[in-house]
Amino acid sequence: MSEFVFNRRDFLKLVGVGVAGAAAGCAKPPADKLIPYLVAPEDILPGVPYWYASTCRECPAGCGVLIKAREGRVIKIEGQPEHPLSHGGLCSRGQAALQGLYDPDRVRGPLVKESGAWKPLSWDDALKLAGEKLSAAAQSKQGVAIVTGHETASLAALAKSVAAAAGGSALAWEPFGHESLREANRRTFGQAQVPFHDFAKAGTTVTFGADFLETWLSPVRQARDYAAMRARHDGFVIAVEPRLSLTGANADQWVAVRPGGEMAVALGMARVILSGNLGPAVSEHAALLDAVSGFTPEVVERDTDVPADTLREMAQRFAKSRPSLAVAGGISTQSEHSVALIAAVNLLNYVAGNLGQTVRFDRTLNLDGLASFGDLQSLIHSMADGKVAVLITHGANPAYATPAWAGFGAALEKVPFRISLSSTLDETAAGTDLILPSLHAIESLGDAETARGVHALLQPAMQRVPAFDARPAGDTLLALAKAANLKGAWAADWTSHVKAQWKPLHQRLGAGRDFDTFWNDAIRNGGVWEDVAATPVRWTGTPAFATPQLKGAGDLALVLYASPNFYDGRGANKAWLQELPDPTSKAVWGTWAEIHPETAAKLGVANGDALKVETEAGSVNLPAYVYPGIRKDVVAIPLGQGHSAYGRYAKDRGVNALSLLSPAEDGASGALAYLSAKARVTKAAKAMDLVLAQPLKDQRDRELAQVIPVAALLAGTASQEGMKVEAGTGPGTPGTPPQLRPGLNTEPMKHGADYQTPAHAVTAYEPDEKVRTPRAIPVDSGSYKHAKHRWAMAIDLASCTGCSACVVACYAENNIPAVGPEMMKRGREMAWIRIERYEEKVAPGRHDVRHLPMMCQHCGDAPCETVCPVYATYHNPEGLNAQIYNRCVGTRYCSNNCPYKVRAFNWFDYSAPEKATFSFPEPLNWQLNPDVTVRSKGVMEKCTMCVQRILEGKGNAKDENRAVRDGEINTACAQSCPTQAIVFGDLMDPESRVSKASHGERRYWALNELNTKPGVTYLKKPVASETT
Amino acid sequence: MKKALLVLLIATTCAAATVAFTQSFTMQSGETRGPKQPINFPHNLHAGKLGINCLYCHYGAEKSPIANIPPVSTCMGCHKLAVTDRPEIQKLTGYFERGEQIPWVEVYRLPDYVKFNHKRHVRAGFACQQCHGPVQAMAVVYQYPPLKMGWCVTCHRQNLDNPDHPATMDCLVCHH
Amino acid sequence: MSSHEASLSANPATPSEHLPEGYAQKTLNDDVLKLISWPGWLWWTVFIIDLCILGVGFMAFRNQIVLGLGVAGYTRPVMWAAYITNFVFWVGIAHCGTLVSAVLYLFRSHFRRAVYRVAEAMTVFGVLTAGLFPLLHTGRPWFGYWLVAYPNQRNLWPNFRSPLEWDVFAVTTYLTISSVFFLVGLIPDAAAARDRAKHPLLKLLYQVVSFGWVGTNNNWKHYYGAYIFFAAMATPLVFSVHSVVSWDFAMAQTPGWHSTLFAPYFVAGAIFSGVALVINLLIPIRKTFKLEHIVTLDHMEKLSKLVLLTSCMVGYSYLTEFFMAWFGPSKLERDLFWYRFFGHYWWAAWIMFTCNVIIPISLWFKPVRRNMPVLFILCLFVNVGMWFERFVIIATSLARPINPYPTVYYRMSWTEAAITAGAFAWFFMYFLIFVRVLPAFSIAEIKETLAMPMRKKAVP
Repeated sequence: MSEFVFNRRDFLKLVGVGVAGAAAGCAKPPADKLIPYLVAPEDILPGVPYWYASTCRECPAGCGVLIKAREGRVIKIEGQPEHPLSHGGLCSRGQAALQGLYDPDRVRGPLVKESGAWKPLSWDDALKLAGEKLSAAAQSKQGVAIVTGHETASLAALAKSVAAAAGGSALAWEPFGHESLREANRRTFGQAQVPFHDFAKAGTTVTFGADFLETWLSPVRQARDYAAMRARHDGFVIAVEPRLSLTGANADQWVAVRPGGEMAVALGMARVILSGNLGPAVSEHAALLDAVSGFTPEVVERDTDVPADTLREMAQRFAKSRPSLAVAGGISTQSEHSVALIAAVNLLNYVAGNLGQTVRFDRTLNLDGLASFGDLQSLIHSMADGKVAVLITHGANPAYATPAWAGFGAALEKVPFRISLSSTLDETAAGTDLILPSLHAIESLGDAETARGVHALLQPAMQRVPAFDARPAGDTLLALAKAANLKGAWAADWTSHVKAQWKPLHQRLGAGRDFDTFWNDAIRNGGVWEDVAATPVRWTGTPAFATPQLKGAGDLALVLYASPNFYDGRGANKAWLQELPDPTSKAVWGTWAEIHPETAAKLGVANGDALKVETEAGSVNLPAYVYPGIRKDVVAIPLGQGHSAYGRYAKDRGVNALSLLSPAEDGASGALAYLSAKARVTKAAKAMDLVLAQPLKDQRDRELAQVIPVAALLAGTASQEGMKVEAGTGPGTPGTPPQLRPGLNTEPMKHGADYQTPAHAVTAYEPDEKVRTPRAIPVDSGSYKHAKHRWAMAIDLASCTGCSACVVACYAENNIPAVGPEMMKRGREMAWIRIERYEEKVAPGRHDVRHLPMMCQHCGDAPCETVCPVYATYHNPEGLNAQIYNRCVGTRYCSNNCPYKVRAFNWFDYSAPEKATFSFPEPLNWQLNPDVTVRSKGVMEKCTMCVQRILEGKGNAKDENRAVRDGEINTACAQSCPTQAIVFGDLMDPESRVSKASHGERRYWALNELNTKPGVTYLKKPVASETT
Repeated sequence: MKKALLVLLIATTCAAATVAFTQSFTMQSGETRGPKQPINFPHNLHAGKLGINCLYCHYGAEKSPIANIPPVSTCMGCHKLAVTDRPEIQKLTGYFERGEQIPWVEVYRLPDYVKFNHKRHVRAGFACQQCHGPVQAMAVVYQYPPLKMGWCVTCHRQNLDNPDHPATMDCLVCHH
Repeated sequence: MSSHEASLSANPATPSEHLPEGYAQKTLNDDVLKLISWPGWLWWTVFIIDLCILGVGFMAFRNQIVLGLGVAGYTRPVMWAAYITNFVFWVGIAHCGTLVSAVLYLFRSHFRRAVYRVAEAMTVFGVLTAGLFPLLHTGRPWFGYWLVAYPNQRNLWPNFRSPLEWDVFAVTTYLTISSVFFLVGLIPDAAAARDRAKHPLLKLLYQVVSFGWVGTNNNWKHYYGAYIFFAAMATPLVFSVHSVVSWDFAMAQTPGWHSTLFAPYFVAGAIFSGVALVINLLIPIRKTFKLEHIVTLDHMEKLSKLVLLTSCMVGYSYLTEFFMAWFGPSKLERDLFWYRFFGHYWWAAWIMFTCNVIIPISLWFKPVRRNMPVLFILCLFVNVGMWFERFVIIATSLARPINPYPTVYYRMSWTEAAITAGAFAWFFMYFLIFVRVLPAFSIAEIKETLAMPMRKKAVP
């Protein structure tokens, strides 16, 4: 379909209809008017969802997305299965893009600052004003600068040409620009590129502080490859980092290196490999060995606290299980010598023969146009020197994302006239004179080439949200250029500009189609993908190796890391992300300082006690989070919070730890050195609250999250009695012997051999010896007789990384309110699915962290069902544990009796606009899914396995009168999971993926000794035996 | 004395019981006349006399859970030419030319926590009249069925074992 | 000779239960009915204060309805706490009345004569108070009637498998029977009051509740017939109702609740707290109204022995629970019971144990039993202890969920405190009115211990 066009009034009418649905559940007076279309857009039918392929712009990775619109309102974002990078997964930040679109604090129209106060004005006046300033600057050659975010295609070109025409320069800048990666690769391989790291193929993966499952480069793609590697059971991941990140938590081995010592470890490994000739023959053997000769295991041990034996062992493992993969360049390791670190890692990859295997220069990440922090600084200097007359910013927030010492804020004040195209009033926009709000990526046309050969398109999935009088940034730039009558051939409008940019692509990839067909196809698929041949690279030179020295008086090294929830801070004004428990600490709505239990004991602090973290540059007060997964000599703080503007959810929440940095950057690449300071940590009087969604990380040997030794799996000795199911004898298939018919052998044996278990009574569950008396009595009449499906889930703990994308997906799909820090502190989390984190053992070398996605288990024999006095919760014919909100009286007995504690109660009215507890302030309520009731106060709610999707899927199958296909119906969590750890489907179909998964040798059921016969089967996490 | 007391007791008990009982059954009577519409569109003429198929205007009913109110352009499809002299039609053209949408008054309203899927019922071969009553005979459309849960459930129960389209008694189908 | 008189001759009243020699029947009427008179300043002050507290309670409840149940301290995992604690506490209170009046009646223990009216009144008011809470603690009280099985157009029924549904039946039945039993016992005395009443309204009231009693032999015959009939009917309820209440917990699989011990354990506890409260109510009354010769020390001592007995039963139940947790196979149970006494709510558990088991030990000593001030305070402790017993069972068990993810502790909010206080006020409001309006002691039965006017000496 092409992007649909219908006028704004039509759109308002749609909303009229839409709101009736959205208001469902709120005790509101009836919407007594029905507003029809004036002229019906041909591709819109009320009540039918439409999907638009587009590209996610929440981080530079640029995953492919499908955007779901109902009645012209975008209500959900999902990963696009065909996309060459993301393959259908989408991370929590991508899911939350919706709340950026409907951000109640978005700029509602052009604003001009007059005597310090914002004053709205019309677009024409705004453009006129801006045009004058711009032309004046252009004529008098005073200099014009345009700062954009990571733009890789049409907009970048446009910005460049506009800047050029105005006699200025355009700068595309990202806080996490990976300058050192590009520089190091230029120096070692002669390619200023970010290579494609093939985690799927790697035998042993060593990450030197590169959080490739969180924020580093292309997390969704990498997570998927990681899962593929895990599926082989023979992969081994080593995390070399002072603080155990989420990536480290998923690794098999944690090497707690001294901060800054990563390079030495890499070179030490390289040395072991070279000196032992463990790797393939390399021509530069002598030269390289000479370069690393200084890094003997003993020296390395002295400098990095990594035992020499561990180092040798790592090196041998790394060289043995080829192809292996070493990665580096995460924010937490970005020091004054990060180029050296990455060069060292490149060398390690090179000597282990991974070049061209797992490190390839084919689908390289496109960060080419990206300016370094150094470039930004030179701009800042010229701004400070008054060499910039007009500054135009778009999609970048340097005022927040650069440390104070860089002096952007001060320099900004020196600029006579500042224009922001930002759609939110972030710190940078707040410092400008004129705001020409841009559309959100979901509302506007655009394109991007985030990786070579991936020419992605963004299409407007909806008319712009009427509340916000914004325009596409491209149009604004064009309009500015015209208003300032800059010389140049300006396109009529943004759309035609983008199309013009795509002409060459059409020449190359058009394949005989005329442009419009090509264009429409591209729009339909969200872009065009071409295969790129790998550029052959060779070792071009060994750079100087130097270890960073941390400056300052303190006794602890200050480690700043990118927040998995907020990335560089751009996610901070999204309630979903604020309320999403941090994957590591499970803290919400704030910032905290992670310290080792022993350090905490020395200071005499416990979780949540106030700490004062002090460096030369400054000091902040933070609550302590006592975390065994961190070195005793390190204090770690997440970035991304502590905004001074940006919106109601972000403003004055938490702390921006960048203020702790004193001037330091990587001379070689001009990258900002995040790892450069030592800190003194003392007990403080007060700090913000530490709100932990999961206070205890200990599962009290309840065996909720289980593991299985890899050795047993590979040896095939893991399969237990009665767990093997012969082909064709899946659950419910006739002729299956009763003892193999799952779920039956705990039921009264009152049936003949030919008896078939009704769908609702089927589970994959088989009791262990502990379970004695049966309870479930299958219902054999009415709807229960005709039921054909038993919906169930299988969750693979091997591939669940704890990234929590599923949680946000569920919030989006099921209208779950974000209740805010005060409620969270009282344990009133509303999430239907959560990631439970259990730290069995966290110590250098040997650690065991388990992530357990926990949602309603849809028990075949549910404790909650029997106790509800009014049948508000009951077992439905297709095995779902149903919760009928409007029947619920709110006795909460079901929650008391639920051993998994997955039921959430509506303590207050989160859905009533007139109440203070309302959590969907206009226009956030536009995102509400009309197919799901918005719950009112006093009722219980919980996971429904997305019953609305099940009904829709069954409906579609009926329309084509065929059976439901496996995989055609998918829950929001399963759809979003980047690693496909969650599989949803029909247990009655023995061939379905879920049936197969549920009968594998790794399966188990949470708390199965209670005989609840869960509909959710977990697959044990295989762990390398030495880590258990 | 004693008698009076006894009578009193019995009377009150009965009263209470009746109230409780009847309250649980109250339905608005089908005969309530429909609301006054901005344009009095005679269904009896269009659906009855002219015999226009319901799905011609309410085309959403078989494709979507929502049976749409026809866009004004649909009306204009005929009424650009047909009987343009009538005042009501002039009202209609007025709306269309002003680019205003017609604020039809809602006749059927389900409570917010109930989901009804038109597509499923139409495709299962139910005539619109089965729920909406003799619309082709209504000058002014009024809510024909009580739209109470009992009413839905009764029909669902009857079709529980319907070979082609077994209805379900599963609460979740309408309440989710 | 009615069955009752037979019983009298069967086991004679102990001399100590005799009223002083030559104590005329009329004086007894005077003594008892003098309570029914325009109250003095003391009563009024107490009553007004009581109403104020009640008002505060109602305000809190209104607040809770408007804002939502969130104003209470509840949180996942502790979804039940103060309100259900109150519910169980008051149902428990309600038990002793029927025990004293019905069971002891059937067992012919005569010390009940002097005390059972107060106990019965307490029962009825106790149930009235308890009945508030199941509604009060729900998220949407305005739909509470859905728990009642009545035919409706939705064709929906309540879930008869749910222990909460059983509660509905148990409590309503108990309310009906206990109030009927109360009224029946009241008939002859109400008649006596009626014959003296001046105020027309009071007169009417007594006419109604005395059901036109005239005191003929026939009247007495039917009266005793009915009385013993209802006594027999009420007796099983004493045991059934609180067993059903205990199953609210025993039927759930939550560790700490899932126990077969609960039914007898709860019944014993109920009687324990009930009798304690009866003592707490009687001591002030007999003192302020100078009725020590009617409710004698012996009566009080017998009651306190009942307290001692039930205290031992409750203590035994505690020990059994712990033994089973230690001895049994479930590591969850073991974990929980350790947590109870040494976990987050250790203080509650220790209050419970001290008040219910340790302090009552002193009742083994006669001086303590016969010392009214001491007995009064001791019984106060028992009631506090019993309230905490329910709190410990409910809150601490929930605070230690099987899945350790939600580890958030419950803290009582002001709303809950206000409503709890309001409930006590609600109970005492009824009781204060009762004391001044209805004969608080059974004239008819006490008279039986008096010398009959015809004969010159009391019944042997």
